[in-house]
Amino acid sequence: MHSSTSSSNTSPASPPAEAELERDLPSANLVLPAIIAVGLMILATTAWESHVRDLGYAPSYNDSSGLWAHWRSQAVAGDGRSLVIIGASRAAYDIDLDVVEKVAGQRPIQLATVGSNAAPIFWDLAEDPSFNGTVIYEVTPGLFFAPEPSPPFQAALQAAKYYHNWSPSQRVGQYLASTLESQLALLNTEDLSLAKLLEGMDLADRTNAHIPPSPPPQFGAMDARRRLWMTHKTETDHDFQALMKACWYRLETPPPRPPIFSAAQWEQIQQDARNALLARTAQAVQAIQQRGGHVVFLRLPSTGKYREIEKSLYPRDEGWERILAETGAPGLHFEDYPELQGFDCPEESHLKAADATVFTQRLMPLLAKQLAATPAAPADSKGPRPSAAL
Amino acid sequence: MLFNSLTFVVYFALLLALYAVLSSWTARKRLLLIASYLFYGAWNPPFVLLLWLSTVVDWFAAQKIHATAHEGKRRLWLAASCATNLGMLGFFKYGQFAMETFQDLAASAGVAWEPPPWDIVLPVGISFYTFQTLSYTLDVYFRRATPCKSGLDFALYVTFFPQLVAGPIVRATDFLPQCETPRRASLQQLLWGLFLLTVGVFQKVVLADVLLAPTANQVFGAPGPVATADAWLGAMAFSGQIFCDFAGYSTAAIGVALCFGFHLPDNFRAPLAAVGLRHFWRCWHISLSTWLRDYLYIPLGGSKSGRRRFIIATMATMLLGGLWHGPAWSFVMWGFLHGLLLLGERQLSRAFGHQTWVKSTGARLGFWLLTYVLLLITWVFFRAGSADGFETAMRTLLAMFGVIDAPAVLATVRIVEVLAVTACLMLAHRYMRNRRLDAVVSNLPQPVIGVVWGAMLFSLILAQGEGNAFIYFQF
Repeated sequence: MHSSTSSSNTSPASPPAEAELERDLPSANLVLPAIIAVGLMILATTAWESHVRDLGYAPSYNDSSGLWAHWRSQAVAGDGRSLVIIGASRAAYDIDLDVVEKVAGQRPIQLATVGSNAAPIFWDLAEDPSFNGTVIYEVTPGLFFAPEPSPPFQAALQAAKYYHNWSPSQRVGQYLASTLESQLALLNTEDLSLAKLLEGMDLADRTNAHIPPSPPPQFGAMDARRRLWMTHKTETDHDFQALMKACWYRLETPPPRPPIFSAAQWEQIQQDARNALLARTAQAVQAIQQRGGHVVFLRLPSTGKYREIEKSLYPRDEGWERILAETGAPGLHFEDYPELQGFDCPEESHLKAADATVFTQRLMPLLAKQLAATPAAPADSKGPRPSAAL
Repeated sequence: MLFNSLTFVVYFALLLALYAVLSSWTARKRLLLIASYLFYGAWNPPFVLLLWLSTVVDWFAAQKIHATAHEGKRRLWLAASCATNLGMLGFFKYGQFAMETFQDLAASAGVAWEPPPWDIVLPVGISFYTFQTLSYTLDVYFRRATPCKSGLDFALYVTFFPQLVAGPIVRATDFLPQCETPRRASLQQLLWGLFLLTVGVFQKVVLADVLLAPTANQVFGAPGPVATADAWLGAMAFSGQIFCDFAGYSTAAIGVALCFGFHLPDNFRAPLAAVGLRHFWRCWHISLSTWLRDYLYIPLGGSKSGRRRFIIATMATMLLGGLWHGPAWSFVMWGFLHGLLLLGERQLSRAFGHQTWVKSTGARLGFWLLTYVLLLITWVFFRAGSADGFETAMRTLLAMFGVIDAPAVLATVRIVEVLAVTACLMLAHRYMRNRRLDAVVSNLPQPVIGVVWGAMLFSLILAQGEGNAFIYFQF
């Protein structure tokens, strides 16, 4: 883009240009092009909206940083005695927020983030003196111990950072985005953004390329409270479920050991990372408890081959039991309660929406019991008493 | 506030409507000033205080410099302006870098010293507006300009929102005369401004963010080395990304300003068509390169004061130009490489420039591609940035030249995207190198302009995204 005159054309030592800077304009009248452009945009957008609705999409909310930050801000609204759910996608699919609200008498805040290690979010809540509430910390074994530089850790870290740097313009932008998303199905970044549509092109990858698997579209949809709902397709289409399972199996495969480390060195590095993560998490649990808040860990169901893979990679005594032992917080593992078993995960990792409702109804009394067994908060604490936490 | 955000769409529409309603020129300028503070404050309201500080100090400094003939007093007021602007810049941008460097030096001398935690947010665009206001005081000091008579006009010059946070860095002599006569965009100016805004945001959102950034992020963010082809593709992706991101902002800024009847200078002129580094710097970030030329390179001696002064001036300008981009040694390295290449090019030009084969089409084509490859190598340091910058840059360079054998990480679709966009950009720049966009558009049939414009708008809706910040905001 060139201007007719610009400061760059003047000699450095020369006096200021006499002529006023003025840009040239196209000689072609732009009124007709503008009308065509707007008309075309409206026509194409309408056609695309109609097409994606025919494909089965309905208006939903994007799992955006802005929506997350909005709910994070609600966690410390008022007296900060909120009920917060953190973790990964299982927490967002398997917990029915309406049931929790009905039982606990307060609106839960869903801060679980898909594919993330929630540790940075948990640490951030612990360091926030305005938060005095209860944290339900969902544990997905493969994600809970994801080390600091890994994408699951970074995803949660970025969410927490975004909240702290959330600017006024981003707040307004989130309000506008939510308003539009509630009306238009095409505004679905997970499946229908240009980037995702291009990624969906059927191009064979190089045989030696290490490409992480990407879940196929139409797996789930999010509502305004950040609850995720499995689509009808995921619940019923067996071929689609097979695709999802294959994706989970690949995602669960540990990354290869870097050749510069021996097997023993690599094991030690991973062990050190797990120890450091647990130590900081234990400190965070204490910090929340000292302010009168509560923390309860929660292990949600998985089934089939995926469950077997999880068991082999993350044995219960090395993962779940260590978390409880080292943090001192109560925990609830679905395997320990007959009423939480027998649910079918269509793709072996998440519950159907209807099952999530039943599961949550059975879960809530158990959670209340666990919290009642936690140490009493200091007398001067601002948090709820354990029995009143849920 | 970002141009590529819903908030800006609402803000811009309301502002245009209010601007059209007001009849008094002073009222319209006041509106633009308030709107500019709102635009900047929408990131972080307290940082508006920095803008006010810069405005007040430079306003008074310029008046005082002009009012006296006493060289000592003139220097003192210039020093006050420099100290305020560069002090702000140094504190916010380079404070942590300085402490970390000092820590490293102390450690190398056997002294263990731990700097206090540095938890200060960098005010967005601080490098741009400090350089802009500084240029005003320097111009008055060098008697190239007289001080502005209107406080409102000067405040608007410092704060004018379209170019406030990422340029172009506008000279007072280009902007202030425009404040003297009432401005209202004609319908053609308004539509051309909106067209340029669409082109700029399209470059940023679709080309930079959707098609190129994922590949650059994947290659430069990889925990280890990547395959040779992938390393080159990563460098190509970043080369295109940085251009589309930054030129996109400049184009959008020029378009937004034009919608209010203001004219901003060019910041890019088809830099991917550059044959040689000197040519590149005449086409890339023109407002910064001319700033550095006028206020650093020439005062240091430039090319007219002997070979030694030329070398010193070139290297100092490029090193500081690198450091301007960020507080990291990888940016300094980027500037150092550009300085070396500029010096080498001058030597080669002197030795072989008169030979006929140098001017042949084949040779020009070869030099064009060689320039591109050399730029890719320098961009590796630029992209590596602050954290582990050198390590990432060296790993990527070793992979590019096949020294390290590592697995491929890029999906085929990414490869296709990068190659297609790069080829299109290179050819478009070759085509545009001696043309102007307004002239090219003038030669197109009106329906074609409309269809291209509509396609860009629809692709922006399709791209969606969360309004990623422009890369140059961090500088």
